[in-house]
Amino acid sequence: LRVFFGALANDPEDHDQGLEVARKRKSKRPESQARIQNISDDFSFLNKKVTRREAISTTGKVAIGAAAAIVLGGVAYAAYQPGLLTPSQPSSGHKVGDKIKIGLTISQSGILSPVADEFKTVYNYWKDQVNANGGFNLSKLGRKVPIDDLVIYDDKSDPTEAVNLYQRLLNVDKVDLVTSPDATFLVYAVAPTMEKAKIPMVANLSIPEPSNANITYTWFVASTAQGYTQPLIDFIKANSNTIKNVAIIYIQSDFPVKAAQYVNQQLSQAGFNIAMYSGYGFDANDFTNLISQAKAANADAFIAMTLVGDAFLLVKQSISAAFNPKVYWTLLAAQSASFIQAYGTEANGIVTMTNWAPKMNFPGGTKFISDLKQRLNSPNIDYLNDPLIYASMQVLQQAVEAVGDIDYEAINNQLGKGKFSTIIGDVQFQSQLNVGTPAVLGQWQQGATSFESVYPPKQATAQPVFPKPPF
Amino acid sequence: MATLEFLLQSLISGVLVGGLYALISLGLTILYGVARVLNIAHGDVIILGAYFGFYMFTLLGLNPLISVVLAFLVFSALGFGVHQSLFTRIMRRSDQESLVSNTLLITFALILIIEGAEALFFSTRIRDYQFLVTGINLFGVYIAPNMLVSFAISFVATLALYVVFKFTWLGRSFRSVMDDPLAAKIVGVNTDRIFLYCSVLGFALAGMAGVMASMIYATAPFVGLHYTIIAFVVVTIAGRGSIVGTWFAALILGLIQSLGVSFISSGLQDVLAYILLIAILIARPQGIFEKA
Repeated sequence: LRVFFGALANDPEDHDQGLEVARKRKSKRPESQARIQNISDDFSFLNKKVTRREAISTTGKVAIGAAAAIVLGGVAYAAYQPGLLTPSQPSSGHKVGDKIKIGLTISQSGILSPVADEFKTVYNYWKDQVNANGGFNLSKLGRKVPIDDLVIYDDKSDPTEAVNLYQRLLNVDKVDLVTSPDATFLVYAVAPTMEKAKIPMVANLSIPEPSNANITYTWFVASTAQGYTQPLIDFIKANSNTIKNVAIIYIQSDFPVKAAQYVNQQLSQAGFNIAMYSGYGFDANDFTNLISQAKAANADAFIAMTLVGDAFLLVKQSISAAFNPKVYWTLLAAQSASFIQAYGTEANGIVTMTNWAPKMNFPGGTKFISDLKQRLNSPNIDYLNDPLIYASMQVLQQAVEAVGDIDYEAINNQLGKGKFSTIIGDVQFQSQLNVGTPAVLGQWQQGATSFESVYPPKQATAQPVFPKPPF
Repeated sequence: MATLEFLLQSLISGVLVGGLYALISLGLTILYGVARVLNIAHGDVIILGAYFGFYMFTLLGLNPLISVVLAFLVFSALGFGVHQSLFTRIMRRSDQESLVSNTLLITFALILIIEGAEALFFSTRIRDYQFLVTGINLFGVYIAPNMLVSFAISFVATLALYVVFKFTWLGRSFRSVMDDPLAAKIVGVNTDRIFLYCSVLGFALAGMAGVMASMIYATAPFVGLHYTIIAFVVVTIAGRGSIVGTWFAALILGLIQSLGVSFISSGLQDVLAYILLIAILIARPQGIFEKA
């Protein structure tokens, strides 16, 4: 090693010292001596004096050779990978092989990672269900095509990484279909790539506001911030005789901010007293003071536009502070299995946003929940995200099967005009948004053993528990 | 709520959170302050400790107050292992100037290993449990008992370290190595052993902090950086290797954040921490509690 690194360092002294050490250590073995001598000869150039002219000439030749190799290699690679130099796949005439390749990213590290394992399980469950029936029924090809192992990358919860990985999925992995990453800000980052490639992407996500006009190939199965908070607003309005003061807090992230703004505006207009309206940062690690303020304001309804980790701390500290408003809402987290595992009966009566509750009885829902619980080895699932993921994949499959081939333009048109039967109801898009399955108000009931849809009454699976039982 | 009551609530919250910050920072104070090992994986070791607390509680039903003692032992062993396998080699090959950057690189690798292993073995799911959550009402001010416990543990740990540092031969050795490792070696201090003790203590305290944090915060892989940042802010405010300074710096940080959230803006918690950090770096780069 010393000989080798001596040579790398181009240091004759090191080289000689290295040889000396090697000679001493191996002196008793003649074959080693011979090998050492060979090495010594090989590296003898280190002791040779090199003129400046020779050095420049040699370096120049090496540089020209290397540049030529890089250019030739690059051209050859580009010829082999046309997607790198030319726009991606044409939107029709896509050749389907023996199996359909579907690609996506899941944030397996970074801030979004807590849901990664569960999401992966849902995607794979869906794939297995489809394959159990033979795969995608592509009528124009006259055959059923099973789905290959899903190509899943870790986008590290990073939009730049997500964009790079989706380009890789299209151009290097050459997937037949894609589905979305698992956060709205990642979908927004990736959407332009899909627009450019003219490949439709069904996202299992919500967006803060009604669709951006520039997006025509991304379809959102979940609702908007307005859509998800509307049942809460209507519920509070319906109970205006007992709810007077409202406290709203929100994490400073796009979706929660938009949700908070909308609720604030709607309830203010309806004459409620917005006794508190405060934002907090991503690294907030103490909610005691915010809870004290809400308590001091006699908040009848406490509306926390949370993400996930912050909701856990907020509820824990609300229990400590014996904070018991009549309505206690968290935007995210309360739907998840982790939350109910940690808080058990304390979650009883907490309300949250959802599209789905187990008793809503859409086709396939009962089987979905029992199968998934078994796969996750958990008494609960994520009642918001898991059904949305499954439903979005059902939408994609039905759109492709309606076209009968993987023709991106036709699939995109089909997504715009079709009606898709899913476990969350009939999904139908208008301006890229699902208007077929409106959001509902979800609530944990019966000692937090049952997740119910409680408002609006038309979609309710149980009467709301109101006021919320104390922690 | 009366303003006085609200002020009192803010002060108590700040002090209690500060107590946890102190425990989070003590390990780094020793490892970086004395041995100059810039362990940026400190927060991830804390997360490991939090997983330890979570599984001890949920699988074995073990009281976190027992887990915190076990964590001291288990994480001491981990610190011993990491020191012998990684830090000693780096220390042998580094001079005083390059040690910080070399350990920064190697502990960055440690972050990736710990986070990857956590995601693999514990899954990426958020883990949380309830222990001593029901609050104590003290004249209208609510105190979470779990915060109170973490404060007490932090206080005891700080006091114990202070006594060791100030009044024992071992502590004198620590201080001499902190001042000048070469001079300490010349006068007969076994610096290699002191460095080993630093790693052992640094990891043990991080493990304890993790168990305490698990009573209060939810645990997930990939959030260790949050704790690392808190620890660095506190150590910077305190000054290198100052045990009592770390305690007070943590309390100052907790109080400033709490009062800022209550009386300026709830969105400013992190901003205030960084403003304080920058102010200290400009005004007293050696920290508040270290002599210039």
